[in-house]
Amino acid sequence: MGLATANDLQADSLLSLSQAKVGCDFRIRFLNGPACEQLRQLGFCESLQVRKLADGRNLICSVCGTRLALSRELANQVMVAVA
Amino acid sequence: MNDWQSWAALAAVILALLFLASKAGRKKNKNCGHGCGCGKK
Amino acid sequence: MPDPLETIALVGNPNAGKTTLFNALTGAAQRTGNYAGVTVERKSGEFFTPHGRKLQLVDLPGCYALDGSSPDQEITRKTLLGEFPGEARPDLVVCVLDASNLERHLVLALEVIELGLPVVIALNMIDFAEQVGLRLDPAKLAEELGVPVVALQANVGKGVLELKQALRHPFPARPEAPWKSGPEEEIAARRRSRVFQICEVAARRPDHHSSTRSDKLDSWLLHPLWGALAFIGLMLLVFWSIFSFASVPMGWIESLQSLLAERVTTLMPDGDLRGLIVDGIIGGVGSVVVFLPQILLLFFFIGLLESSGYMARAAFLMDGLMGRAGLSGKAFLPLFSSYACAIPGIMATRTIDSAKERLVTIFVAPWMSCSARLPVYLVLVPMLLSGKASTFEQAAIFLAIYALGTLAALGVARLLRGKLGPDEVKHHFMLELPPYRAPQWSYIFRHVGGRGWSFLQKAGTLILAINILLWAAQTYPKSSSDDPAEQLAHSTMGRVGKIVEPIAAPLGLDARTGTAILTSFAAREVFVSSMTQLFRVEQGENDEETWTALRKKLATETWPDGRPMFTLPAILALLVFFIYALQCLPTSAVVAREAGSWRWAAAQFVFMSAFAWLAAFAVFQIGSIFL
Repeated sequence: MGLATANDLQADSLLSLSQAKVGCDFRIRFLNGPACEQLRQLGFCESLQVRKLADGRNLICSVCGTRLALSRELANQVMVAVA
Repeated sequence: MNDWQSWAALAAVILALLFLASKAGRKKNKNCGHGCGCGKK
Repeated sequence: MPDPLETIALVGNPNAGKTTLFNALTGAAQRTGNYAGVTVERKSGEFFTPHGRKLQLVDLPGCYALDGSSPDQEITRKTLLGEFPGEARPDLVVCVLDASNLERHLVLALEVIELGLPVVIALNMIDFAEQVGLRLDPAKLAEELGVPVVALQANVGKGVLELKQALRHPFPARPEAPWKSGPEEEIAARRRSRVFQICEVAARRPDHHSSTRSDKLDSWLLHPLWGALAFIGLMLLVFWSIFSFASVPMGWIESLQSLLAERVTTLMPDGDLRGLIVDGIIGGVGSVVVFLPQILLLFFFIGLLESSGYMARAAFLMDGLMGRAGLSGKAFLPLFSSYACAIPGIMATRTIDSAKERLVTIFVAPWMSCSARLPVYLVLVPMLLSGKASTFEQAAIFLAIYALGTLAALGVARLLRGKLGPDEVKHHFMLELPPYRAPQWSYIFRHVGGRGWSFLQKAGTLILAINILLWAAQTYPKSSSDDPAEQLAHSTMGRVGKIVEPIAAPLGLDARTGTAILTSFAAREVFVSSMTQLFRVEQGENDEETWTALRKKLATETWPDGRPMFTLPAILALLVFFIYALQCLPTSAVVAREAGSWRWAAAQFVFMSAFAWLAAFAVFQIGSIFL
């Protein structure tokens, strides 16, 4: 993805959703992985705010008022920054 | 032993056989192309 | 020649209430068909605007976006572009959006606007959006997008008239799509930032993540410990309810069955047709239809759980366990349903996205001991504990029986999933957890009615045909004897039973039991009545009496050399055989249809029969050494 190179500089301040701390608010920066489309369709779009509600094999997040559950693998592909 | 009953029963059995055979034939042809996990008829 | 009707296309996300709106507009005047070359359903209908103009409405498949490769997206995109063979390009598009989800749904609206057709936005489910505190401004939204926006609540018909008015002539002007200008590859990003801008102005959200009532419930229901306990408790409750509430209507159906059989027996002279009707049809089909109450109750509870929003939580909780079997949380519901009857369970696998996972789930579903096996278990289990058997011991054995089936199913699922290899498109667990809400009774009853009706249809056709054939196998060729046991032995079924005796012997069983097992391939409960016939047991006043008499008789049966036949290992072997054998031809028929190939159904049948035999063999041989 073309975006990835530009964001390399910011990479240090970015973390994946699976690494994010529970209970904190984040903003989605970009999606990086083979399941981008599926993620977007589910509701994980760039520049949206997300709060992580629960961790584990499957995560629970809140995006735009909707509660979404997704697997760890998928969460690895969502890069967020602290909001 | 009523003859008509035996014939009628036999007819029913043959009809049943034909019915199942027709279903089996239709099943093989009914392929929507992307597997039946699509949830559509 | 009258002008052809102008066509309005209805597009929107799958859960935006598009179908509700379609029904509200067209009422009874709708038609279903198919798109050329694909099996996606095509719904069209007609309606009148308040000004008396007749318009044609086409319901395009629900999709999240237009630029994908799934059949739904292709059909929608191509139809809107006028590229779909046989479909005229619509004259206007109504884009149905879920008002409480604009951040996600607006992308589709923008994509539709780009196509250059007149567009009207139907902002649906505004009641819910208001409930969650969204500050919607339809006028501002219309301004930002350059298209008319109608707020509505399709399920109560609110706003439908306003929508019809918006469709008056002349149609609204084709809107501009300023975000289109720029590099092609970045159009998606430009769309999304435009959506973000629009939402800031026209759909303000208060604190998104404030803890709602649903969240508070979820803190318990999704808790690793309390959630799991609540889940198990709920499942046990549902199970218990199904079995106890269903017993009354089941009794009615059984009474109806014997009443009908009696009438026919008195009204018709003795003969083959009477035998076919009484034993083959009333007896055979009846023994399947008797499960209708359980199936209806099962679907009722499933509808209740789904409608209230709990089902998503159940799938979430089960995903871990299912994962170890190579399945996902979505496989839980079909497998759970199979405890009542595998047929609706297998049909429920349509919600599983991964085709391979779906096939595996279909493959193992019959090992969730369905209720048809219960009469067999109920007859055999007391024979295991001769004498004083406490209810606790009986319950423990039943639990062990269910566990054996379930664990084997999960184990085979895991192995099979591994063998099938990964999917081409990797499917991940992702699920929306909708807020909890009161169940929608109309939806539930429609759902239950639909399922019940399709079950009865299947019973009236497929199961009927199979029972007629199995009756024929048990009747022809006829012997001159009056003794029903002799008759059965003389018939095709009996002869096959005799041939099959060498296979039954290593399991500690003889030709008669072997024949009874063969007859149970029509319906498992038939095993009990066959055994009663073959071992010449007197029919009692009711089932209980007959079964007690049957047990007594079997306990005294011996081989020609005097050894007792139904020893503990033999009974265990028989039980194990019934746990694992696939003895339901209607199920195989449904498997063949749902899996799209009769080969899968055949493979399942062969595998399960072989497994059942081997397991029973092992149990008998090993049991004979130790017991």
